[in-house]
Amino acid sequence: MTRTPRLANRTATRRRLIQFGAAAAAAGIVLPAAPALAQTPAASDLSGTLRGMSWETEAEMRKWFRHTEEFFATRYPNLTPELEYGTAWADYWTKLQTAVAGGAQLDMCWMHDSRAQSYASLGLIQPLDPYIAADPPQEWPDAYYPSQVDAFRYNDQQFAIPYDWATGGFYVNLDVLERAGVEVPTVDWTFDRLLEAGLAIKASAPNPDDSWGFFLQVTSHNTGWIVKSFGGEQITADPLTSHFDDPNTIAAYQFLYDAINTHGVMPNPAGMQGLGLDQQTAFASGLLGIMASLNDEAFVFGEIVGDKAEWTVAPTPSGVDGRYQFAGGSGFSIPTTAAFPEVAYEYIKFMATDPANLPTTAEMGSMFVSRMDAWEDAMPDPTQLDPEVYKAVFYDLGVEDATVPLYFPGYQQWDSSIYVRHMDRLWTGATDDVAGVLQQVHEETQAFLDTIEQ
Amino acid sequence: MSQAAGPATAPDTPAAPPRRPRWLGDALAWAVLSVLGLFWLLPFLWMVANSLKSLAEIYSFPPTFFPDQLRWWNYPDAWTAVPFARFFTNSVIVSLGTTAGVLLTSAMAGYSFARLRYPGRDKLFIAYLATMMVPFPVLIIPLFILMGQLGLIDTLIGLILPAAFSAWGTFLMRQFMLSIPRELEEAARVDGASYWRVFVQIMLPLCTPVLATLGIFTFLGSWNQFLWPLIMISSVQNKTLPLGLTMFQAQATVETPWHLVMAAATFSILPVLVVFVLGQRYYVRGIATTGVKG
Repeated sequence: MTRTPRLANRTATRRRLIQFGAAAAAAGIVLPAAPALAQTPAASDLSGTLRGMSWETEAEMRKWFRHTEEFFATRYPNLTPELEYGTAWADYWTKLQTAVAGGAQLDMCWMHDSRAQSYASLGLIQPLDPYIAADPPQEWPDAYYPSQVDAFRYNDQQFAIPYDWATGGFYVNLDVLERAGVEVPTVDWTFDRLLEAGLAIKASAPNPDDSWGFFLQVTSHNTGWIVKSFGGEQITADPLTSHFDDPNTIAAYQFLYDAINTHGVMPNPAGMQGLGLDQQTAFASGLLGIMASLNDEAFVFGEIVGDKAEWTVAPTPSGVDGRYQFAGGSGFSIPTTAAFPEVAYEYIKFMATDPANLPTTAEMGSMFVSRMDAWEDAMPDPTQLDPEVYKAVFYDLGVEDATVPLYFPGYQQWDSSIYVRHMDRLWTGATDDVAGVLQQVHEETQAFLDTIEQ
Repeated sequence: MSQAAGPATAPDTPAAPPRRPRWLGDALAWAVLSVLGLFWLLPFLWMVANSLKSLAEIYSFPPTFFPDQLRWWNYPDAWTAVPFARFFTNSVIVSLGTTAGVLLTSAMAGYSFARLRYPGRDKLFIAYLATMMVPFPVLIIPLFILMGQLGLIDTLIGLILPAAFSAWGTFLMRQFMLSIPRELEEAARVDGASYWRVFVQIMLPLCTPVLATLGIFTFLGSWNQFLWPLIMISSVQNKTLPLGLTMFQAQATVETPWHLVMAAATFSILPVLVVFVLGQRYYVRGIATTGVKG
């Protein structure tokens, strides 16, 4: 695999940068800041309320609270933690932005790599470098997934401590594949092989018109790894540049267009919704053979599929430029309206990076935790899925081939106003001019990127 | 008319074409309305049906309407998974508080704009009415800062106070009061009643129908209010029912226990149904009343 040397090289460069940044922060930022940190009252004297905001559910937060009580009882007995939770994902961002923009005290918050750049650029969250330099997490950053450390950096500053790491893979309906005479995908599968399998699955279905071979997400962040596999790029950094007109990028999107509209082996997301379906329902009902999703789905797939089908997980395919795999994740940030930022940092470090607490953290997120050596803490129920298979698909290959989409300030706005607006015409079959649509996306994307301060 | 009066039709009058019996028209109307009613009822029935299924059954295609097994325990599971009794109480407090506030302020402001004479009254009324054109999301951050300065963030009062003033309610009350004969008020004034007494003892009793309409609209709107409570409330114990329902929703859609969400949604709309059934005639009348001209 050609990826490993290149990744290793890239990682070394990145680590040098981060270590240099940490050293610079220690020399230039922390030393002046150190007296301020030292002037804060002794830990046990602090009193008040430490406020946090999370998108996790009640059940997930119960796991989190186990160590929270321990932390505050032993270190800050006069500080009361108030962690808000149970806010649905989409509503969370509305609430978080309003709370911080409205000046409400908020000491720590859950952050996602897709939003971190925007929040950092708007000054809603603060750089953590002074805190990291003064009291770094154990083995920071070498023990952490490089992609997730990088994902929370903006303007050479760290804006979140990563706490989980999610990778993509295939969920395979074994009953459907057996009916079609298709074997379970392996790491050497190519996109052409996937298309062949899709055609066979569709042809073997009792009702081929309403059945599909495979499903790949077509959202902007979920197509990045596919585009890279074809040798293309969506957007690159330094400076932010659009590559939607790159011939290899066009080839990747042409593959997706053909899968949906030419061969009918992949459902058009909007069309599937029109049938009252989503990919999980189609998969569980035997209408879909292979679907791409994140590793956390393995924790609930048994309940969704029930006894309707046998299933397993498998690697996603390679393209002409090698193999890539989607990765992403969440972290913890300190908003600029924090009243107790030092305590918040210490709390985050304790919860998300202390090896003694990582098993609980892993249980909360159903993802691999941010430290690479703690992968075993986040494994699904072995009665539902073979742990070795799960590890091979999502962890081993993820470490080797994972790629995080390039998020930038205003990403969500770009996504809805440019990418989705144009690309939906392709997915719905309103036009077959893939290159033409991508040219429009390219021009508008570049114009959008040019407005971003870099 | 007595039987002795004989047939109503004179012998030389040409025979009228046979009239279609009235019951046929009624039956047709009932049939059409029943089909339409069923159409509107379907989402509600679907919610109830899904509240009795397993998650795997919800994720099956083609979907089945009737559950394989009636899982009544979804209801206690949903009720105990998050503190729904608390959410329920909070929603009742906020909805009743908001309704009382809107009725009081709208009636007083409506009376002022309809009956009292002072410089700039109509301009003030139009300015107040114009606030209806400002979208609520524009007001969120200023309102949030204001509530913060008043120390009302994460309190039920913070939900009630900004909602207790309604330009629409004021408009509704003013228009209705304009339709009340002025002579009634003048008679009371001649008898020495103060403006306050006229308002309380003459106008308010006459406004009972429109107060009922406004109360029902406000209660239903407040019960379903989501965005402002989402922004304002941070602690679990102060959440209202719509916020409580979202506590089931995980980051990934697939991890959301939809069977429990549907069970929770079912019992959360029961009070709304009761209010609607009890005040249905006022609700329907209110839709017509909003078109009343002064």
